[in-house]
Amino acid sequence: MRSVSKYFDGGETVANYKLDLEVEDGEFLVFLGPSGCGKTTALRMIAGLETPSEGEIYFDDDRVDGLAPADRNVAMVFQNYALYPHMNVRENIEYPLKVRGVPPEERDERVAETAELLHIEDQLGSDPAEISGGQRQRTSLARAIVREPSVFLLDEPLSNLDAKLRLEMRSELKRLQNELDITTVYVTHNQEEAMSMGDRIAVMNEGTIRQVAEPQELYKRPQTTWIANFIGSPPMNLFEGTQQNGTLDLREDNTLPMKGETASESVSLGVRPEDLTVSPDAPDSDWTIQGTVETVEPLGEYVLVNVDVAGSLVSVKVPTTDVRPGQHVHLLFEPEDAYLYDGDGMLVA
Amino acid sequence: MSLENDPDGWFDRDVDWEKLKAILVFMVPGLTLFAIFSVYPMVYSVGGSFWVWDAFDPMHFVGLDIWVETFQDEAVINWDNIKELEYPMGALPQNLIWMVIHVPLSTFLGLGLALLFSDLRGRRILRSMVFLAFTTPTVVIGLVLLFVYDPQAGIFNELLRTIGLEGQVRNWLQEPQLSMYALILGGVWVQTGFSMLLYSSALAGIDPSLLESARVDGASRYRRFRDIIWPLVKPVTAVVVIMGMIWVLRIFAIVYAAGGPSGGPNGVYSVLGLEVYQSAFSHPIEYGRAMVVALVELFIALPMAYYIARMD
Amino acid sequence: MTDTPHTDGAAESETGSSRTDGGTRVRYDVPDTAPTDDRDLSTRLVDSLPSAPRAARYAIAIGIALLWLVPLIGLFMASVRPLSEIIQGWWTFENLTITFENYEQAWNYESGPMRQALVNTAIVTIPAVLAVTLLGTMIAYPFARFDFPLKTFLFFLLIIVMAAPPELVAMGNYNTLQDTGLFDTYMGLILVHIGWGMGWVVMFLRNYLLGLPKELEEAARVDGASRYQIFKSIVLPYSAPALVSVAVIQFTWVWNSFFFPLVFMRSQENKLAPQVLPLMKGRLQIDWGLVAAGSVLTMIVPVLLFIVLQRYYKKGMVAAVAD
Repeated sequence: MRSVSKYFDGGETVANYKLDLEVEDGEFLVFLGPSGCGKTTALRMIAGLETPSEGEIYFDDDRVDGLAPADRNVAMVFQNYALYPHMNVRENIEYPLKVRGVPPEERDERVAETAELLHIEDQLGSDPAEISGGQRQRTSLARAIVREPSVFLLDEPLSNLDAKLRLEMRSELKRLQNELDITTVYVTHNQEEAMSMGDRIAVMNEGTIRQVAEPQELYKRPQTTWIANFIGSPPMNLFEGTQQNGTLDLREDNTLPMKGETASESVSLGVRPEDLTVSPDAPDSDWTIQGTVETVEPLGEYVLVNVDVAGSLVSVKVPTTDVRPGQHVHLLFEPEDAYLYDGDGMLVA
Repeated sequence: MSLENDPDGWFDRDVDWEKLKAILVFMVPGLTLFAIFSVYPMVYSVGGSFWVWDAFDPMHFVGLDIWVETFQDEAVINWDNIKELEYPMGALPQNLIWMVIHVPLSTFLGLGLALLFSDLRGRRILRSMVFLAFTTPTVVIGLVLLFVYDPQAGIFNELLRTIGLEGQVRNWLQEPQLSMYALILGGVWVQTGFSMLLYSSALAGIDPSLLESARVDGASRYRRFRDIIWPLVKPVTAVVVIMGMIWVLRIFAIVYAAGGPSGGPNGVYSVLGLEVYQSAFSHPIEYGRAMVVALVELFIALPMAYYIARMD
Repeated sequence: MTDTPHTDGAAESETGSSRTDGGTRVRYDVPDTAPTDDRDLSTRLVDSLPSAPRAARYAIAIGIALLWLVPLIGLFMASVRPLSEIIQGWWTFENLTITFENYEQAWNYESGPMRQALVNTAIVTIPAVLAVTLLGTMIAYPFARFDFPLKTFLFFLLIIVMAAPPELVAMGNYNTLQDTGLFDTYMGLILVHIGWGMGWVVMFLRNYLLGLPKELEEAARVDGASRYQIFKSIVLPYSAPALVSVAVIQFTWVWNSFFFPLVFMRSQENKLAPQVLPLMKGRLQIDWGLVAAGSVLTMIVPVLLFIVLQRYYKKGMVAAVAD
């Protein structure tokens, strides 16, 4: 399959969508969003397990939204793996081929190949109940891959694994996707997974796509305050203020120079924790904000300083620091690292 | 089923004597009644089947004589009629025929209804409607069947009249060669509710993502049933089949109500239970024969009970 | 399906979800508005109707369920109509007469009046059910928890009794009751029912009590409770739902049972309701109205019990055989 694209313009009555999205051929696209945002429903519509109440879905130029899942040549990995408990690993992997009437010799060959690719050759004779979580995961991946689908759908496949296995499977999945070059749609609520695996990320909330971008772009230029708040750990700091006459008034005497319209407008200013530095002395810059240190958390790799600015907490990530809780400090940043959002939360500059 | 010790032996640490006394205090009242009214009469029947009885009192030991006599009794097994495939064939073959027809029918109907209702709104009400007959007394079931098959007032015959089969209208429970099947149909009517209930709960226990996964894998509705649902409800099928067989084996009140203690004209739909009752409690009283027939029932049921016990 | 545009709700929950672990808590509106519903009511209504194949399934399902009820509906109809109309078919509704005469007749039926028979049935059923439930729990608890001599033997005994037909114990019990003078008494029948029901009740409760967390008992032991106190304050409350299931199922079985009363209750004033019903058939023309009224009176109790407690009934049924 070349140039897979799909397109919905759906207004799913319950989940309330209006999704518009095109996925490139061979691309690894991630749906990222908090639970209940509709990302799984979107995936299930692509799979054909749900029918969109409005809108159209295309694979290449073929409209598929009326087709049964069986006729779409999609493969799906479920959150709980959905391995058939009464079949052993081999039979599980073989099942999609069997259903499609692939002759036995070819089935054996392809099962063997896939098992090798996923390093589960030794488990082929075991029952799903006998193997470890990671192996179950691999089996379910194998079952999806074995019939060479044109679209590969993964619904939070790593969420049932422990932290170490998750890291391992993450790179494994990425490797597989690179090797097989299958268009992949991946659903997760874990932003690390999304950032590390996705070619592009579609951030979803409240049933709609908020931004589709490459991971770096998403991180650097989150288009709304919501995304800014959602991406990054700790997330971006947002300062509320009013913009007027070339200045930005944040609360409690913090004023920043700001070019722009003269109209008075409420805005928020976002700065990533790692773009802030903290200093006890007043620095020689206009781009500072004052606050009081609440806590200092040395986390090894960096130190997280939580600063109370006008009653709300601001996180600062610094390599080292000697500030103490209770100390009055200045937060310093470069103007190009700051993002300005208008009253509706849209990125302005 | 595990019969082993409590694993950490926590309760075993104190002396057995005290524990045993406590256990006894708990178990003795119930077990006494169990022993007197269930175990003892069973043993009594086993022993008594080797004796000649003077009405209710054992006279003298005769070994297997009564067993042999019983199996030669036409009311139990009528070899001549079996060869002709004509009713009455005797209570034992009739009971087995009942089983062979009744169990698959009620099992598959139950599964079918469970599948049909599984994702409908109001399925609980639908299920209760089908299950209701199972909660009514079996005597009432027998009388209801009598009513349903009545040539004048019965709705079954009315149905035949409506679809233009006036010629077939008859009292279905008085037709020697057919009434057995008419009764079996009634039994299926009752027991389908039970197997449906068990299958419904088994279906509800299947992880929906398995079926979705099979759909994505390309399995048709039929393949999904054959490859996923059927293997997964297999344990329940075993239970449903066995319970159905035991239910048929114990059939008594339905037949009694529909055809009296003789089991229809000439005993054409007599079953083992009726045979026991007749031998033991109507003249001439043949206690030994009653015990033999009842033991035959037990022997048929025992392997099933053993299977169920092993399943846990 | 609500008709309000989603914008408002979305804005609220977005504000609520803005995180406090970094950044100023900002109040903002939804940036890219969640889709408002641009579809009118009629499209939505049409969409919410089941699709054609699904509608057909509903029709079939309801049809079958009704079909299953037809014989019982017929029984009920017959019970409230005079015989002359029943003979014409209870399904015809021309000159429909509703009468309670059948019930009156059944209530005062000469060879076993229902008013007496129903009372007898209750007198036997209620104590038999309560006793078997309590005594059964008392056996099931040590059975599930402790080891004792002959446990496996007892286990198989219970299984055999569960499988055995009631006819098998009739002869022995008949003689026992005759010898003890309990024949044709309430007490005799009650005892037979208790002994007979013990098999499945113990197995059922044992399976249930296997799931009783050991920590509960151990905590109580550490707190100084005796075995009897543990039974009373831990085991019984824990098994309450199972006990209800057992009681409901056992109640219907004992109430509906026909064979035991037939054998052990002989005098007219001791007859139980199910026993009386076949007598009502009479010799020649069956008085359907009388039979139907008697049947309805007899079945009303277990059916109502099932309807009210069907959650327990179904759960118990499933657990009793599926475990």
